[in-house]
Amino acid sequence: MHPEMSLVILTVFSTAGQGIFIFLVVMNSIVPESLSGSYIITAALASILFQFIGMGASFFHLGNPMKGWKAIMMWRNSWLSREVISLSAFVGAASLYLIIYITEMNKSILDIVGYAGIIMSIGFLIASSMVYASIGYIKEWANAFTPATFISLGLTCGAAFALAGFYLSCHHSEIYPKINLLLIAMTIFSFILKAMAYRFNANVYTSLSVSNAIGINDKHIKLMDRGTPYAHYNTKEYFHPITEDQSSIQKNLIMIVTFLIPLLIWMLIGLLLNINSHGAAFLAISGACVMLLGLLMERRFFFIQGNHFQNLYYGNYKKSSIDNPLVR
Amino acid sequence: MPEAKRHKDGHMLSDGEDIKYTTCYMCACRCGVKVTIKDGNIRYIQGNPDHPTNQGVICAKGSSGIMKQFSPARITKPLLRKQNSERGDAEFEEISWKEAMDILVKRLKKIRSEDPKKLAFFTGRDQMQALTSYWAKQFGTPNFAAHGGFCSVNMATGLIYSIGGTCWEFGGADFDRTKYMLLMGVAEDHDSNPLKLGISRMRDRGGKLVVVNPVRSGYGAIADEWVPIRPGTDGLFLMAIINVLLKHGLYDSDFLINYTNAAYLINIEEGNEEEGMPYLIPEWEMDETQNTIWDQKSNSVKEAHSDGVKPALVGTYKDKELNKLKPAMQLLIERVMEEYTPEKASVICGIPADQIERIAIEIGMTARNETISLPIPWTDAWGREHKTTTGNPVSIHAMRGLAAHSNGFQTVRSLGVLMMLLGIVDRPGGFRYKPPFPRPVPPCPKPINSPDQIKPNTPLPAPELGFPSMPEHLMVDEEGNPLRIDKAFSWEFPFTAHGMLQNVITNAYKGDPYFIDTLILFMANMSWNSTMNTSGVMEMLKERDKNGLYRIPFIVVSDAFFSEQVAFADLVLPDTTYLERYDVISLLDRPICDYDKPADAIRQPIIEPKGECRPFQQTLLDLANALSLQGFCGDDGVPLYRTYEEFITQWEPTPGAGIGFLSGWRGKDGMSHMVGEPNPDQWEAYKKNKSFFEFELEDSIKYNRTINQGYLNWAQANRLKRLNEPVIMQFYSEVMQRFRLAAKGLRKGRQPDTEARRQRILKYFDPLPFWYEPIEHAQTDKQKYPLHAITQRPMPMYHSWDSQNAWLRQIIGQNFLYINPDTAAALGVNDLDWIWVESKLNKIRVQAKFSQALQPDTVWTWNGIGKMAGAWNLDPEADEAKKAFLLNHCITEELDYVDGKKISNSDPISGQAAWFDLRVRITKANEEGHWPEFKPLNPLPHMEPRPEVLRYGFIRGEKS
Amino acid sequence: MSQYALVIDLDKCVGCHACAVNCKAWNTGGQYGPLTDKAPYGARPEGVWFNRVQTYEVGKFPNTEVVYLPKSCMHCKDAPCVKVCPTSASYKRREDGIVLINYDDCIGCKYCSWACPYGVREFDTYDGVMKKCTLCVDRIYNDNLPADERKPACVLACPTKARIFGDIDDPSTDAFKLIRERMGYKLLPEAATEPSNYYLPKRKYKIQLNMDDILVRKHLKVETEVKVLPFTGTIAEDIASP
Repeated sequence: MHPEMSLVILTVFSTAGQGIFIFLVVMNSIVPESLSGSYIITAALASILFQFIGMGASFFHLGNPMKGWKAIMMWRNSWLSREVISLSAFVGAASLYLIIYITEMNKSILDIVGYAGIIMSIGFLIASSMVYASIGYIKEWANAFTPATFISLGLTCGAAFALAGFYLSCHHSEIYPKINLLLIAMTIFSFILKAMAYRFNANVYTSLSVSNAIGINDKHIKLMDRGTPYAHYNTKEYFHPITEDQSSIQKNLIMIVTFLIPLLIWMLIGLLLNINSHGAAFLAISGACVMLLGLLMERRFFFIQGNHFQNLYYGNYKKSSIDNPLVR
Repeated sequence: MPEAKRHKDGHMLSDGEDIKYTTCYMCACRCGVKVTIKDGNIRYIQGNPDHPTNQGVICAKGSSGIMKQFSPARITKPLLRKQNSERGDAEFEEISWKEAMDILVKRLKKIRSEDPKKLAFFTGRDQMQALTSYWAKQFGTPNFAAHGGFCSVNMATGLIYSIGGTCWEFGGADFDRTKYMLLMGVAEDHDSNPLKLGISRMRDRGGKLVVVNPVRSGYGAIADEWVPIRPGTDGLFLMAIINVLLKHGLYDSDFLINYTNAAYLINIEEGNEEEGMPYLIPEWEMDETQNTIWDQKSNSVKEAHSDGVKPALVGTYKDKELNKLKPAMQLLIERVMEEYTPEKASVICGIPADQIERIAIEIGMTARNETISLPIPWTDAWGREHKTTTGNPVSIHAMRGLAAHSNGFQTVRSLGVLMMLLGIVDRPGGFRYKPPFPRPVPPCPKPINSPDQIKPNTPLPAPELGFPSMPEHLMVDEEGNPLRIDKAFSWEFPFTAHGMLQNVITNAYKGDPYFIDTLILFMANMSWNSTMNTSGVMEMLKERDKNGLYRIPFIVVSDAFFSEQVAFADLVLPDTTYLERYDVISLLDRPICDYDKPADAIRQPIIEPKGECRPFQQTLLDLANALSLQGFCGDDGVPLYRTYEEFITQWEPTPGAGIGFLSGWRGKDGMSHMVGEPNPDQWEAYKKNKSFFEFELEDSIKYNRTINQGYLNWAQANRLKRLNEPVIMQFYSEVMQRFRLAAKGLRKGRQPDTEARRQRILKYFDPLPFWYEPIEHAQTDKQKYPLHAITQRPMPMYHSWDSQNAWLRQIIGQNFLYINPDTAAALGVNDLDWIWVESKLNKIRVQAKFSQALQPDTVWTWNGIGKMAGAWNLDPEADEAKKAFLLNHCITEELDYVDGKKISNSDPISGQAAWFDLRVRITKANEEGHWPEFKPLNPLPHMEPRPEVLRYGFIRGEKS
Repeated sequence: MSQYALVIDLDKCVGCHACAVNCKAWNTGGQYGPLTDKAPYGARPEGVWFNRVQTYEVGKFPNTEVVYLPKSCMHCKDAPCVKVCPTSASYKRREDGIVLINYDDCIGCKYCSWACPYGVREFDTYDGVMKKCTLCVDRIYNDNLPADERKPACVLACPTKARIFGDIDDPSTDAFKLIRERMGYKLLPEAATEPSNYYLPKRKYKIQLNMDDILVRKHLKVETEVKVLPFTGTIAEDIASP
């Protein structure tokens, strides 16, 4: 599939932002004394900002952004509709959370709104990933790894930012090393999940070939002409030219940037540094940003890896005996 | 709803909507189209359901006709090449029509008063040759032709000199009855939609379709069997089929005896002027000379076609003077049985012998066993009444795969002989003529034949083109040298019925046979895809003599779009598109007839011409009037017709002839058809009848029209034929034997004057078909150039020559050189590699594509995709300019002749350009870049800029 | 329930692209147009087409078949594009099964096209909406047109009549009958969308030759002497053979 940046940004920033929020709410309900007010405001704002970055990007994806609101119509059928609704609801909940906190209303209302936001967020994480996982014609997407990695990576990245925020807010607490450990655990978990996803995708098997696509049973079928030779929507939207070598380089790079470098950083912080130092805060922010960057790469490659059935017709299906004609 | 708003075809017209019927001109097929107009713009073009040609369907080209009106390459003003600019640079100043006409008239007046043949007037896929040729004839120049010589004239002449009709769009298969069809050398070709409609009906009925073609594409895709033949060997394949048919006795004796001259006795005594000529009963024994047969009942020579005889087709006989006589059939048998066996053919054609044999037997047995009998009585030319009309359901349609070779005429002759053997000409289930065919073999018109007939300020006494039937009809001077600039009707190319467009520029450049002054080109892209040796021809157009003057001094081009040819013009006359003008598709020219229905058609303006565009028809008439050409003007020089519309309805070949360009609704009251006085309201009558006219023949005169007396009488009465005599098909070509006798020096009258000409005639003018290796192959080192290279025209672009249509170019923008993977592997070439294609003449850099649907010794590509950068106002970086290519650069227009002289690369009989004879070699191209490279053309200042987005019609919201 | 659809006869399709271009001509000026062309005379023209004809080669020389495959919206009975549309702009009509897009509701999210296994939805970047074959819904119910022209433009145009339009669920239609008689098949049934367009496979006519039959001279007569051809023929009494 064509890796459209607007969708990459949407999925990465919205899920990461929700990770931040989830951490905020959970921590604020369990260990509110550990959190500074500035941290809570900053984290809630960051979470909302991330949503707006994602939503803003998604507008560039739409052909008619002004009509985008109509996307809420079909929540009964469409994961995309649910995604839009849950995202809007989440932004509403997060904003309310922030307002309640600032206006210093009742703490239990704050928690209720917070947990409601988490429910929206979970709804969103599921809907957003199901948008992709429900496309049965892209075997690389239509599996449990898609929601699992979307959720896991989003939460991990959110946790990374949350930790960075803790360090920044410089409010000493013995909870920090525990969070650091949790983050390391989450990163390792996500790493394993993603590695498994890549392994799964490398072995995705479809017996389909151009023979099924055109309904003619023969081993030797060659596409001679696509009907119109120039690139058009159906040859661009579903296909991104990439070689096997480039593909494995990208995968390795993604694993390093998204997981290994941040992991090193968390370990460095936990083992070597005074957690309460500026150095730790700087490293924590760097780690979160590196992970965000890695996530953008990961999501972009997620699209590239998606191999749509309709490519069978245009000679773009990667696991097919079809001879690949000119790639424009 | 008000009834007034309903079009009579049932279409309810909304506000601002209108329906007009006209004739398509996106290719040469001439389909009827229905055009919906909305608010003065074209909304939709569809097929006319009532039209005999397309019966409501329409092809990709016709569907995209509207894009002609959107093209930014439209020329809308007369243009004069800027002084001091070079030809090919496309630098023009805009001038007025008055200035343009003044320049042209002054020039033409001078030519006409001094030496009219200094004007050469050549047209492309011109559908008004009746007018253009008449104009040239009245001007007095023999140098006129359309593009037939470059196109498929072998197919026309080869069959017309055999059966008096041909495939092309002049005849076709009886698709509703045929049970076996051989489609030979037909990619997309004449005729387009009727062939598709017919094959479709045949698929449903269940006839076998066999496609003989080096390439499987188009019709080949739906064929039951594909015969991947080597290019240039179709004649051999046909002769081998004839061999098998003769071997098994699978031929129709009755047909051969009654319809053809196969049973005629041929005098085979050598050394006198009767040698190889039909043995005649002399005039003193009969009222007139008569052909003869050997009657097996009386064992004596009898008058052909006489009653009560049993003619022999085989054997050797002697007359009273002991002259040895053989039926023509016997001569064919002697030729074919040893020399043309399937085994021998197999080696050269690349087709297994058993496949040839099987196909031959399938054809022969289908013809023999599946006979059709229709309850239609008819009477033949000898007064014999037939209770039924019978036929053998095999048909053959062939086009340029057979034609575009230097052995094409004789190949098509063998096709004609095969059709006669099978008895499948103009009978149910077989090949059917379309009126005005069948014509005599050969047809009557003869070209001028003497230099004395070309006189200043005088029309030619005979046409520029025709059908010679003896050396005296050749257009040569006392020394035997050609009179025409293209050397048509010379000893070298005697039967050039369509002229030789392909040699005009080369000959005019060389001054061989003479220099000309002005070249007028209409619809012919001679500096690009309608020529061989394209790069060479472009140089010739630019070449100056030692006085600094162009060797071809003045070139006039009439075109509606900025073609490559326009760039080489000195004067450009902006033409209209087919949607902007009146036109006729006349029975005098290339009509739209169905087998059973003489028909003709018109075009009418659907929308206003753009800018100052003017129909070339009107320009011709204006020129004729300004030059006071007889026929267009009275004896006093006063113009008889002001407008083209007037000319069409009022002109008659001779005053009072009762025929003209249009055959429907003639007579003062508009009630006469076919023949009648001119009717000034004829245009309106056509418009009322959806722009066409058709006349259905009675059942009894639909078939067997060569010898159907009812038809012959009807055709004579309606001026389709001069005489009502039967047309005897030339199984054995007496006409060709006359030329051969002249070459042997045995015939009185004109004889070839040089040894080379003598040898050429002797070799190629064989009265019976034979196969020889294409001339270019024989002159080429086949080890060095091991591959055949041919082209096909893609269906969505076939014969669509202009405008570079925005929709069609999205279907094909780059052509590849298709190559068999095994062949490529041996050359180290991979799929999609860039390669050199090199012929003896030139080399080009192209991209290869593997194809399994291809004879392995052949490579091929789509023709006419490559464009010169900037031409047609396309982006100079467009694929058409950067990746697509023209194979024409590699095709030589000249071959070696004798004494170091060159001769046209054409069929030595018909003058057909032999562009399928090309041989090439292929090497991997490590070099980058486009080759050959030409300087991109700059858009003309007055042309519209290329739009970024093309959209129109019902557009929502603010974007409307 | 009706289901209008196209039945495409691969035994007749010669790959002429008439359907594709006539579709463009009708629909560009029609209610569901225009089919915008970007850079129409540029280096990379990019136009919207509702129908494209692809070419495939099948098999190896000399047993190669060439297949032209015209492909447009299949108007699936279980249309995934409709189910995923977040705005209900894509919908399937109850009365005739035609899948349509309401451009006023389409937000241009392209999600429907992802859900289509056939690659027949075309995004018009100029209008920002998804477009596709409508089976010429603005023709087939158009009372202004003569009755026999109320067919999709591609069907009217097709020069080999390889396209048949009709209700594939109505046993009285040609479309229904042809699917059964000719064993019409669906493309990519694995995608489980129940496409409504059907394709009719190629037919091969063969002639069974009975070589003994050659000697049965039913119609084409042959002189007995032909067998001893070529160099002797019927010899008349008063002449000598050569």
